[in-house]
Amino acid sequence: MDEREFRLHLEIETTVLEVWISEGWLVPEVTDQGRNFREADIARGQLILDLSNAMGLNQPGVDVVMDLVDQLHSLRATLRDLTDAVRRQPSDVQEHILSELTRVDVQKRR
Amino acid sequence: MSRDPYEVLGVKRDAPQKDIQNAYRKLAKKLHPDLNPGDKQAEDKFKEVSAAYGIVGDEEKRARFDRGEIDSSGAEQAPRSYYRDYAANEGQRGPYRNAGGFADFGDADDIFSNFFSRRSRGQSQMQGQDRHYSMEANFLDAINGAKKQISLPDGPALDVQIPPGTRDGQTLRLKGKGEPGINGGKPGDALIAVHVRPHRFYTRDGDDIRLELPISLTEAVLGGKIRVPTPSGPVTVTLQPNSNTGKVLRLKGKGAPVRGKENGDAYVTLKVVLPDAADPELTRFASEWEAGKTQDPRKTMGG
Repeated sequence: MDEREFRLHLEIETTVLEVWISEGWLVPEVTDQGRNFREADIARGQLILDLSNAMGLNQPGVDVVMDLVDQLHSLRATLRDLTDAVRRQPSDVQEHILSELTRVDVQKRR
Repeated sequence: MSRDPYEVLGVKRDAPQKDIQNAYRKLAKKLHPDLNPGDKQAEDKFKEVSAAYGIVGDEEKRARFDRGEIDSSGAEQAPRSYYRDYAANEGQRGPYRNAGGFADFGDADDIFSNFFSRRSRGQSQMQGQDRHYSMEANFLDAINGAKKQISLPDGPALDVQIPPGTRDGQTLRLKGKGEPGINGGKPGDALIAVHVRPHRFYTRDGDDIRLELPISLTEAVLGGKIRVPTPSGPVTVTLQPNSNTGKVLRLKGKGAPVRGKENGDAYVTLKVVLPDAADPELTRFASEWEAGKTQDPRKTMGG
């Protein structure tokens, strides 16, 4: 959707959107017709509104959260790919990995 | 029938409005689905808390609820999506990827290090490459500034603003006109080297302009007002009587414009020019002119 639709959907002013974009919280696609926003951008916008309005975070606070949220999702994606790769291994390999993880776990608790 | 909103938020029925807001903020930070991407129940709990706050967070609605005019189901919320629903893909590619959480795993010296370091670099956002071009500009356009269009074999025509005072060999940067960015990164810049063509009679010396100005014998002897061309237009200069070849006039501020400083100057070197064809009257005068015969302009050269 274009910039106007996006702002109407989230009920935000142009100045607010410009802050989001200049802070790097939102990175819309830039086309010849202007900015283009995806469904994921709307969901991000709602998260930013929740953080700044409902939870009362200020701009630096939102900045920290958005950065950590992005790190978290990239880390989750990597962890998911890794566990998927393990799941595709023969069962004895999977068991080896599991027992090693258990051993490390027990060791660290001590 | 939903739960009692005061109970959901964990506040007393007579709690001040500020306490209700604080209680809600605390719960929202803990329960927001996007701050708990792996917790499937977070969404329901967050919904319940938000619905409760939707009633008692608003003083007017709270009063109506307390009087029994509305019940706690009166704040059903429109279905919405959360960023975590999209983030599975966003975490892998796209502009929101951020490998800051695991990039250091790639430093380890094992078979997986390659995997992590490739992931942390490979798909992340990158600024596009710069493109290099060159263009020719004529001398006066470079001094006074001009708008030019250059057409390129590998891209659309570019509008180039040559700034006033551009030097030969100077590089202009057009932001964002280079190669497109990768994964939503910024595009590169176009870097344009400007070659300034020489001028028929001006030469550039730093920020100054030099020119040789022919003057007639009459002007040289008697002086007077003469017109002098400069890159920013002709100016009138008063020539002293007996102005010889080689005399240099300085025209302040008539050189190249310099950003943030005063303009350079123009230096005009006079050159006395005889008439194209021999003039009988001048010939007669010179042959009878005693002082002209005794003058030795080469006396300092020896021999």
